[in-house]
Amino acid sequence: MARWPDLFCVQESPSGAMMGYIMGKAEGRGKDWHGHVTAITVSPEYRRLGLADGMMKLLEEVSEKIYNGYFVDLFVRKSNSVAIGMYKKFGYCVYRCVTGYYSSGDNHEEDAFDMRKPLSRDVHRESVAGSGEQNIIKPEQL
Amino acid sequence: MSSITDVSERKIRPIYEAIDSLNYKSALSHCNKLLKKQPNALILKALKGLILERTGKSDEALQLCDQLLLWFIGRWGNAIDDIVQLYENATRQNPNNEELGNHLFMAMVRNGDYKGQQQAALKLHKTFGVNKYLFWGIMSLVLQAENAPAGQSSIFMTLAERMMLKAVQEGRLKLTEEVHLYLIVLLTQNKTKEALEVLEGDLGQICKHDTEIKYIRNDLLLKTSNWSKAIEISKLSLTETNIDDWGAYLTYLESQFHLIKSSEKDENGEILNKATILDDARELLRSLQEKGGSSSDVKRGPFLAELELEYRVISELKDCKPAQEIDILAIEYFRKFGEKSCCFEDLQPYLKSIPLETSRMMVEAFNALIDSTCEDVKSRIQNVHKNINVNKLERYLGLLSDISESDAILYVNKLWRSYNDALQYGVELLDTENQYGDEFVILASHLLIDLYLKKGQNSFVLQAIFLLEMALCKSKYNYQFKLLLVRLYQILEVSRVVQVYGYKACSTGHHEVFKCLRNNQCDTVLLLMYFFNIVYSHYICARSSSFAFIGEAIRACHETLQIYRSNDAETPEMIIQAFKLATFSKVQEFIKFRKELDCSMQRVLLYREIVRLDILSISKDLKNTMEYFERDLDSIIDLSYDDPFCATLYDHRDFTVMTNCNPSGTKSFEEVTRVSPTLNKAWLKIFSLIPRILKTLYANNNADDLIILIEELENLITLEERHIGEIVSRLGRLYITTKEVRAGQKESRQKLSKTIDGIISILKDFCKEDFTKISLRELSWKHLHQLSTFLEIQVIQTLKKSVKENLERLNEQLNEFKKKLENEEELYLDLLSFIKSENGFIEFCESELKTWD
Repeated sequence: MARWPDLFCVQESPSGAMMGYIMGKAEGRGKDWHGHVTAITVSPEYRRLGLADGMMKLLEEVSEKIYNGYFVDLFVRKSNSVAIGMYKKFGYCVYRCVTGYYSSGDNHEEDAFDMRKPLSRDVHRESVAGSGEQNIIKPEQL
Repeated sequence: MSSITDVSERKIRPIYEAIDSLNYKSALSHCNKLLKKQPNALILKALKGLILERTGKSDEALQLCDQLLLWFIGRWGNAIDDIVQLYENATRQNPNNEELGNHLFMAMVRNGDYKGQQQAALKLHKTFGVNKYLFWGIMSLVLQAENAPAGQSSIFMTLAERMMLKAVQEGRLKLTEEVHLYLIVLLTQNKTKEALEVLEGDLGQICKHDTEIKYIRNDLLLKTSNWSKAIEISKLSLTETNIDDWGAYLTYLESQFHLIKSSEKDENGEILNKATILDDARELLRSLQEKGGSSSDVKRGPFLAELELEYRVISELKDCKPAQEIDILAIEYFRKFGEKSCCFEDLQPYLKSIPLETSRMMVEAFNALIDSTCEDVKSRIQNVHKNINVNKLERYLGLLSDISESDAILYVNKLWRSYNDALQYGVELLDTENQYGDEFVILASHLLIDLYLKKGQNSFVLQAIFLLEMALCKSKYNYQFKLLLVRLYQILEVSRVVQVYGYKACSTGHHEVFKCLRNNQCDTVLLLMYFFNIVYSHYICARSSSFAFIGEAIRACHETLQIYRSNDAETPEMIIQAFKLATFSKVQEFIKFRKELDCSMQRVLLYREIVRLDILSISKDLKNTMEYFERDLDSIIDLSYDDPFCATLYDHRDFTVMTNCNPSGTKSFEEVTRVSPTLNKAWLKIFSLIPRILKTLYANNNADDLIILIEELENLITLEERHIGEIVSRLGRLYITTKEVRAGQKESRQKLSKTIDGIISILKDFCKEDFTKISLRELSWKHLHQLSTFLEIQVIQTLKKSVKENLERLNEQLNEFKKKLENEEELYLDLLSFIKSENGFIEFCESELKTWD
């Protein structure tokens, strides 16, 4: 928040209740310079209103116009099919699979999909070129 | 944590020797070798720093020194002043070392020394000419102004503005955050017009893509009565950027209504026609509705704005008629968005004063819009949401206010059936999701609590608990269930269960959110407060002493205090980051965050509760009590309670989190389920005064101090704390009178017996009931509060070495009681048979339980 205040956003309902929020950052070097979705949440009462769509668009716009990034990426649990479907609808595709990215204290590991959406600066869609789900890497290779 | 002495001298000696013989290369390699084995050894880091510094690598050396410094800060947190001193000396000796200058500035920031910050920043700017340092200086001036005594802040602001103007003239402003700082400087002085000019000018171009700046600009247009411009911009934003931007709708309508109401001409002298303005507005909304309706999911913004518009016409314009009545619009809105959970919340503000007859008609119309013949699962799930919304609206519109007991029971059964019916659609839902029909259960329990409040029978509370517990099995993370359960268990004073459900909920559910937020993402002020500090702690810790499980209550209080400790350690670092990265728009927010948590009312309440519980728990025997007072003498004397102190506290407790569908103008559900008035400043004062009085009694201090405290307490006594307050103040008076008698004042003898009589009569009043005779089913918070207060009184009495037997008897009672409560199975069976026996309600209990487990 101290570094990328413009990549943080909260949405309030007309009554002032918090409906959802998004947090992001800008990172990477060279052609890897991109916007990253750290977290996005919509409260259950305010789902299916297109809030996530709006917040993702905002983050993409800021990543493009202010940070001039090549793409936006995010990590999602492989099992979270609802979220994956939603991101695909927003124009994201699976760039690679990171094994054991999510781990908890009790030895439960889960793979993550690294999903990306190219921005207009990435004219040739280089950031999403590759074998997608078959492109498997380990967390330490990130 | 490592320490200075964790590497043996034998191993270090070769390094010393190499340094002494100026053989730095060998010293460094030896040092690195040891560091590999003990990477955290402070002595090795310090030595490496020394070697690096001697070999000209001062940057690396400084980095190491930083780490060491951090260790010192962590170790001797109170020695921050020394650190500032340290850096001051270092910068004086090395005025051209930019990094040291930076460190000095940050040390000041950590300290909250705004004046020191300003001086350090300007010195840096003078020496190194970097723009950032100038802005640090200006920001520090703003902070000084904010904290200056009344009337003195303008000097700082004038200076800040002058420096800013100069920076603008010299072309130093290049980034959004710097423009933001300019706005802060102007807006702190309420110079809205000037701020708007900045944004309209060249500098505004720098930050034209920044969302926050856009909102600031809209706000400024309203504040400066630039209605036409505000209309133009909000219209543009709605048509081009975001059709669902509620803020833009409000700006638009606000400005239009100002124009309508203010005069015949707008601020540019154009002649206005009210009807045309309204038509324009309606036309805009209609075109937006059309546009929003064409995409796959219909946006609710333009439809809700139509309600807002007509509602304003009705309530603000006497001589204009709405294009459509509110109830018709509400029905239309329900037709489009009835399946969205937020539909009820959206409509709420517009249905405040609908006549009962119209309400009935509306509910009928809502119901007619639900097609119960549909076959596909998606539509059926939508029907669940629609039904929930109708039921909520029915309650909100007051149609259930006069319902009879038998009808209410039927209604509850209907809701429960709807809930059960909806379960089939949620079989595939993830563990973390709520079932679609959960809110049926919330509404059912609201009805049951209505009955409890009317009839006063605990059985209704038990029934509500039963339903909620069942539903919680299916939606493990439904925090509304948990909040409600905490409250209901509190009414019954089943403390162990409150601990299990409430407390676990708090430590595993939202606590996680809190933790992950804290670790690396951010501490968005709202979020953090929303989720943890505010939501749970006051629901659970309030009046925890009445739980009778003192140990657990103390633990809960301490756990809750964790957030304040994190704030002490972490928020200053956030402020430093904001300065480092020149994110001026966040500096004030972080400082505010730090201050408000630091001066949180809840924090002070928790501290007082801990002192109270401590005294309760240790004072079972006199020796411990005496030791406690001896040991914690100073901290008890320091318990502040005066008005200026109370005025500095921030009360962030959010009581609106709980679902509420009670009619407008009546008490919220959260309010009616409070077991007692919320802990407030009066409570804070009482429980600061009591320990202080006890302390004064113990310390045998002079009677004049005591009498002041006693009189303050007597002026404060609230209903809930009546007994304890009276006893303490009378004990104090007894003490004074005894002193007077000893000093030979004859007339005090009579007073003495009178005071004792008073104490005895209060105790008698209190001992009327034998607590062991209360059956579990009649038990409630009231009883336990009485019981624990009685215990507390007895404990306090032991300080005067009296009424020992009384205490022993009570302890016996209490133990028996605890045993009763701890035997969960017995409790459970007893409650189950009780639920069944009362009102002929929920006969399915047993069979349901079998099928569920």
